[in-house]
Amino acid sequence: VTQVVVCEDEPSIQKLVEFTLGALAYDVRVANDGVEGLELVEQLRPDLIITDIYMPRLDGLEMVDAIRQRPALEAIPVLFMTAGVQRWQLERAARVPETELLHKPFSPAELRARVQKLINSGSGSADAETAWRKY
Amino acid sequence: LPEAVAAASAQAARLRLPVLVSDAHGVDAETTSRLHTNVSMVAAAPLLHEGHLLGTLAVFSEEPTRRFDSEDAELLELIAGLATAALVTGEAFDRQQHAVQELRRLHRAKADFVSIVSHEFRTPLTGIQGFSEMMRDEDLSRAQMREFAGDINKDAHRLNRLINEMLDLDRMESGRMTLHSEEISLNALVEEVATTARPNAPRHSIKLQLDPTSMLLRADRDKIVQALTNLIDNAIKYSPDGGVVVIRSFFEDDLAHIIVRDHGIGIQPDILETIFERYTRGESPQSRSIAGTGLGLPIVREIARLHGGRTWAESPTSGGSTFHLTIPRVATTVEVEGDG
Repeated sequence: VTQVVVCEDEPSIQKLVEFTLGALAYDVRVANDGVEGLELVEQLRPDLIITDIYMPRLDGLEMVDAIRQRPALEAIPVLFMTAGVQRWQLERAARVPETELLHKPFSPAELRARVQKLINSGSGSADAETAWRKY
Repeated sequence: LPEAVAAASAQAARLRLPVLVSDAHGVDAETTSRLHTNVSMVAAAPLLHEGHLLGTLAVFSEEPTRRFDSEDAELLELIAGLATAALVTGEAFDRQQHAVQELRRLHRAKADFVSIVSHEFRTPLTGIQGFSEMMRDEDLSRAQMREFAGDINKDAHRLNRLINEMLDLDRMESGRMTLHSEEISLNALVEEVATTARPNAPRHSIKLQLDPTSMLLRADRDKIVQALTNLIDNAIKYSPDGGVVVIRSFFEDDLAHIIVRDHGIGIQPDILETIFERYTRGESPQSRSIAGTGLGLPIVREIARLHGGRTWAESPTSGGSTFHLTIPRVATTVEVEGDG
C-alpha cells in the first residue's frame, strides 16, 4: 500500500490533508513537526512526504535537507505546503530535487492531483520552477 | 592650547564677533614656557549658524614682527564662514544618514509584517477553502458536514481575532484608544482569565498565587483582561511540552504587579526587549513556527503604557520565561486623544 508521511503543525490542516488523501486509499501518517517527521520517514521510508515549511523544532526545509543526506531516503518525492511568501524559502524549496511546492490556501482537488502525479512519476522537479514563479 | 588663544576664543564666543589680540606676551607668560610657544598675536572668530554658536576658529602668530590687521581679520571671518558651512553640512548629512537608516528599518519591519500577516491569514483560509470545497464536492454524511462546518467556523473566528488585534494595536499606538477605568479586583480578574485559559491548555497546570490583601485597582477591565490573556496564551504556547504556568499577583507600593511564569523554551537574552516591538517575534528553531501574529506582546506593552504602567520579560538561566506587568493602583492615564 502507498505510504504518505504528512508533517504539519496545524491540526485543522492535518485533518484536511488526511481526509483528502483518505479518499485515495493511501496509508497516511501524521507528524506534528520536523523532528517527528524525520523519525517517521526514517522508520517507514514512505512513497511521498508532504510537509509544511514553518514548523516547531525542525522546519520543513531543514527536515528535507536531513532526509536528502541519507542515501536510502534521498529519492523520496516531497511536496512542500507553504503559506509563506518569503522568496528565499520558495527558491530554496524549489532547488531541492524531487520536490514540488503547493501554496496555501489550496483546493483539496489540487492537492490530490499533485500527490497522484508525484507518486506516479516519482519526480516533480521539472515543474517546481514554474510552480513558484507564479508567486 | 596657549592661554592667550583660549582667552581670545572665549571672548569671540561671548561677543559673537571676531577678536584681535595684538600684544599677547603679557597674557601668555605662564604657558609660554610650558608649551614652548611664544604667542604674540591672536585672531579669533566665532562659528555662527542661524544665531547658534558652533565653536570658534583662532589663529595665532609667534613672530613678534608679524601683526594681524583688518585684512587678516576679514580673511579669518571668511574661513570661519566656510568652516561653519562645512560643519553644518556634515551634521545635516549625519542626520540624513540616520533618517535613511530609520526608513530602511521601517521598510524592513513593514515587509516582515506583510509576510507574517499573509502567512497568518493563509493558514485559516486553507481550512476555510479546503473544508468548504469538500462539503461542496464530496458525498459527506450529515455528521461530517457538521464537523467541517465547525472547522470552517473556527477558522473564521481566528481570522476575525487576527483582524481585531491588528486594529486594536493600531488604535492604541496612534492614541485613538480611550480607557474606561473602573474599580476592579485584581485577584478576581486573574482567576477569571485563568479559568478561561484552562480548557485550551489540557497539558498545562495553571497555578495561581494571589495577592493576600485583595486590594482593588482602578483600570480598564477589558484591557487588563486582554493583556493578561495574551501573557498566559504565550506562556502556554511557548511551553509546548506542558508543565506548570504560575500567575502571581500582588501589590507593591502603589503598583499592581502581575507575574506570569512558564517553564517553556525561554527567550534568548538579546531579544528580551525587542519581543515587545511590533511584528518581531522571538526567532529561534524552537519558536519560529509557533503560530502567532507577533502582535500579542506589543498589545500588552501598549495596554501597560496607556495605564501608566510597564511590562518586561526575563528568561532565567534555569529555563522558561517570566513576564511582568505593572499597573499603577490608580491608573495615571497617559494623554490620549479622544476618538469622539
